[in-house]
Amino acid sequence: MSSHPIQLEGDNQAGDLSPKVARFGLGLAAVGLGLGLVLGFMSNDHDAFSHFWFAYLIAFCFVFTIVLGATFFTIVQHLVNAHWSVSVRRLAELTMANIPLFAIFALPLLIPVLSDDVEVWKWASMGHGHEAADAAETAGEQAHAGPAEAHDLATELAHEEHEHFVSAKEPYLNRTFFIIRLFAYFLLWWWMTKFFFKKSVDQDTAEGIAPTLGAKKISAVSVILFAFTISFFSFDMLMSLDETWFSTIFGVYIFAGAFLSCVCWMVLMSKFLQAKGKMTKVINDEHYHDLGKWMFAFTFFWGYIAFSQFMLIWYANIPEETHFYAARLTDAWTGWTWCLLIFHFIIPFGGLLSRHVKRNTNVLKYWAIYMLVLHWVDIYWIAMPNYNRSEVGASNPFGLMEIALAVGMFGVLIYGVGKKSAKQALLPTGDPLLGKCLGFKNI
Amino acid sequence: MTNDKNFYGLLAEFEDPTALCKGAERVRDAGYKNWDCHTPFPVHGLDDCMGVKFTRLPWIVLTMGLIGLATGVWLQWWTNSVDYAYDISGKPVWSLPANVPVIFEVTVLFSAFTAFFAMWGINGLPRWYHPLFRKNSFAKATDDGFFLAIEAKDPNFALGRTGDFLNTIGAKQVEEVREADEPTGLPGNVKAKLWITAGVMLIPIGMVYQTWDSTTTQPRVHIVKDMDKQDRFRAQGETSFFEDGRMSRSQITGTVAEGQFYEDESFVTGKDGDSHIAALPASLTVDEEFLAEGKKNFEIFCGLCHGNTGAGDGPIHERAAMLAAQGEAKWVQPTDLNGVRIVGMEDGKIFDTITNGLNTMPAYGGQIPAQKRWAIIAYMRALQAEYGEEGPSADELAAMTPVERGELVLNQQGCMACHTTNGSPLVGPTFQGYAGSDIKLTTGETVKGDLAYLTESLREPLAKTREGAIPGAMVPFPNITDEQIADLFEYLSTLK
Repeated sequence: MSSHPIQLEGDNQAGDLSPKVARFGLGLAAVGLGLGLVLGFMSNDHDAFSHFWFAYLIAFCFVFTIVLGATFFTIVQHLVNAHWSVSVRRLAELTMANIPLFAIFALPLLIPVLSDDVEVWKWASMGHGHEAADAAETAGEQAHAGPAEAHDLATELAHEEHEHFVSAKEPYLNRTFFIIRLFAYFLLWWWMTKFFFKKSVDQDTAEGIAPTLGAKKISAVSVILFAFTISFFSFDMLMSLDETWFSTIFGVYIFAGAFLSCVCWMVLMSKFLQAKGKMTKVINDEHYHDLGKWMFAFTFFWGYIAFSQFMLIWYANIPEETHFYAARLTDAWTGWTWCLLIFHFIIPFGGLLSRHVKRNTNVLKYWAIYMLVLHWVDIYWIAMPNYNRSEVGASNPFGLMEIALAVGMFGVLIYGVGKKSAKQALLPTGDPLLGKCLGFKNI
Repeated sequence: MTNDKNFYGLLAEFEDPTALCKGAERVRDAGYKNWDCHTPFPVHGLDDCMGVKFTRLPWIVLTMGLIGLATGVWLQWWTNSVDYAYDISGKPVWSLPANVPVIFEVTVLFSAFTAFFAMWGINGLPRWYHPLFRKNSFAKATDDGFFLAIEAKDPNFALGRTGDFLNTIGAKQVEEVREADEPTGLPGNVKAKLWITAGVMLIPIGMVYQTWDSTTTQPRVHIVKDMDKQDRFRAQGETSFFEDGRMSRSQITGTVAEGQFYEDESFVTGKDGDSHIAALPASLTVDEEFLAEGKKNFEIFCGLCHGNTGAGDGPIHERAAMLAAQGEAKWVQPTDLNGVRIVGMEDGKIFDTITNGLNTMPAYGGQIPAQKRWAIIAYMRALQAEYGEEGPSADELAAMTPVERGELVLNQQGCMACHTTNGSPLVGPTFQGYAGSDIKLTTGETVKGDLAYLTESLREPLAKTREGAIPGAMVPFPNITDEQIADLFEYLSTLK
C-alpha cells in the first residue's frame, strides 16, 4: 500500500486560522479565569477559598476529561484499525496533545492539597502528624451530622466508622503519595500522547507505513495503561473528595463522560473548520453520522454505568455507600440529580436515536453543545456536594464564578488546540486508511 | 407484459458494481417497478441507484422496543405487586430502580427479535426456491457476478423492448428466465414428515400437561424439580448454616420486627407500666362489626371450654366432667366468665390472660391477633351485660357477717376451681381444717395455717411451697383487699 494513494481536495491546512483561534482561546481563558479568580476573592467568606477551589477543580476536570477522551479516541482507532475515523482523527490528536498545558493548570490544585486550611480534599489535612486524630474527629462530626435531633449514639458510631475509614485509607490517601501519583499520571499521558502524535505526523510525509504500524504496536498496551490511569485519576481527583466513599465503577463513569464529551468536541471542531472553509471535502455526512453514533452510544453508556453504580448501592443499602446518593437526593441537590437523569440521559437518548439527527450536522452541532453543558453538570454534581456537606440543608453554590471558570478553562483548550494546529495538516494526509475513510459509506 | 404464463423475466449480468449501479439508475429512471439487483456482497450506494426507499424497519423496531419497555414494566408490576405481592423484609412490592434491569433487557429482547424477524418478513424470507436459481449463470451471484432482473409482471415489460433496453444500458449478457413447469412448492412427503415431526414434538408437552392436570395415587412427577422442591428454612428445623443449628431465629435485641411496632404499647400487652389497663385501648371503636368479629373468635377459641355464653360449660368441660365423674381424669371447671370476679376484672388483665394463658388455660397470643383479642373482650362484656352476676352492694356487704362475706369472697374469686371445702383435695389442698393446722413446706419447715400465711399465699404464692404442691399452680391475687382476706380467714376458720 502506497502512502499517498489519493489526491486530497480542498483546504486542509489551518493556516492563518490557527493564530486567530489561539488568540480567541487565550482571551477567553484570561477573561474567564480572571473573572473567576476575582469572584473567588469576593465570595470568600472565611472558608479559605474552598468554594473557589471546588469551582476550579470542577472546571479543570470538565475540560481535562475532554483531553483524556481524545487520548483514548486516538489510541482506540489505532487499536481496532478503524478507517472511518481517519479524516477526523487529527482533531482528536490536536486535542490530546494539550496534556502538558493542562498539567500546568493542574499545578494550582496542589494548593488545596498542601494547605491545612483549604477544605477540598479533607483527608489531606487530617492524614498527617499528631493532628490526624483531632482533625478526623472534627471532620467526622461534620461529615455525619444528621438532622438536629440525631441521636448521640448514632453520631458517635458514625464518627468511629468515619475514623476507621480514613485511617484505613491513610497509606493511599496522603499528600506525598497523592502528588506522586498525579505526576505519574501526567508523565505517562504526556509520553503516550507525544508518541501517538509524533507517529501520526511522521506518517504525513513518510514513505511506507512504518509510523502507523509503530502506533498500532503500542496501542494495545496503551489502552490498558489508559484504563488504569483514568480510573485512578478519577478516584484521586473526584471520588476522594468524599474520603469515606468508594465505588469501583467510578472510573468507568468518568471515562464514559470523558469520551462522550470528546466526541461532542470533535463534532464542534469539524463544524467550525468547515464553516471556515477547511476540510470541506474530507469530512462528510458519513463521518458525522459515525461521530453521532458515538454520541448516542456513550450517552447510553453513561446512563448505563450511572445506573449500575446507583442500583447496586441502592439495593445493598449499606450506609457507608449510600451516603453519596443520600446527599444528592436530599435538599437542594435532588433537582440536580433528576436533571442529570432527564437531561443527560433520557432526552438525548430519544434525541440522538434517529439516523436523520446524526446525519443532519446542524442539528448534531446543537446536541454536541448541549451534551458538553450536561457534562459540566455531571462533574459539578459529583464534586460540589462535598463542598458544604457538613451543613444541614445546605444549598448548592452555583453562580457566575462556576460559569466563568468553566468557560475560561474551555478557553485554555481552544488556545491549546489553536496553537497545536499550526504546524501540520488538519488530517493525517499520509494515513494508509485515508482512502477508505473518504470513500466510506454507512449502510 | 407477455402472454407466456411461465415466463418469469429477464436476467442481465453486468461487469462490475459500477456498471450495475449505472444500469440500475437507467432502469429506475425508465419507470420499472418489479425488478431487483443481485450481488455477492453489499454494494454501497446501490440503494440510491435503484431508488429504493429507506427501510421502514427502524420504525418497526422502535415501536416494538417501546412495547417491550411497557411489557417489562407491566410484567414486573403485575407479578410483584398485584398477582403475587409478597412482603420481603418490609421492602415495597413495587419499586422502579429494582425493575430497571429487566425492563432494559425486555426492551432489548423485543427490539433485537423484531429487527431480525421483521427484516426477514420484509424481505420475504425464508425462501427456498426462486426462478432465477434455474439459471446456471446465476450461481455467480454468490461469487463474482452482478445481476439485474426485471420481472415479466412489470407493467412496463415487453420482451423485445426490455431486452434491447438492458443491452443498451451496459449488460454483458441478457437471459430469459422461465418458471418451472412442475409445481415448485415443497414435495408432499416432505410436508407430511414436517407435520408428523411437529406432532411428535407435542407429545412430551402433552405428557407434562397430563401429569399436572390429573389426579393420581402415585408420587407426583416433578418436571422441574428445583421449582417443586425448593431449599428453604422450616420453622423448628435444623440447619448447619447458623452456629446454634436452628433455623428459627430469635428477634435481635433492640429491634422491632416488621409490622410489630405499636405506638401504643398497651395495645399488645394490655398493660400500662406494671398495671393492667381498665378499658379497651382508645384506638378501638366498639361497633356491630367489631362485636361480630369478637363473637366469631370467642366461639372459635373460647367457647369450647368456657361455653358460648361464657358460663364455663363448653363441650370440652361436659366430656371432661363426665370422665372426671367416672374417676378417669382430674378436671377443673373452666371459669364462669360471667362471674363477679371476671365482671369486675380490668380489660387489660383479661387481655393478658388470653395472651399468655393462666393455670390450665393455654396462651392464645400466638394464634389470635391483638385486635381480635380485644374484640373477644368486647364481646365478653356484651355477654356479661346479658348474663353477668352483680355482687352485693356496699350497704348489703356491711350488713353481712364476716363469715358470710368470706364465703362470698371464696366464690367470687374462683378459689373453688382448685380447692374444696369438704376434705378431698382437688388440684390444690382442701380448706377443711386449714385454719390453725400445721403445714409442711418443701424446705422441711412447718408453718401454721394462720391469717399471715393465708395473706402471703394470696399475695406471693411462690414464697413458700407446701409439700406435694405444684409450684406456680397457685396464682397471685393482687386485687383482694386485706379486709377480704380477713373475712376469708374467718370463713375458713368455720371449716373444721
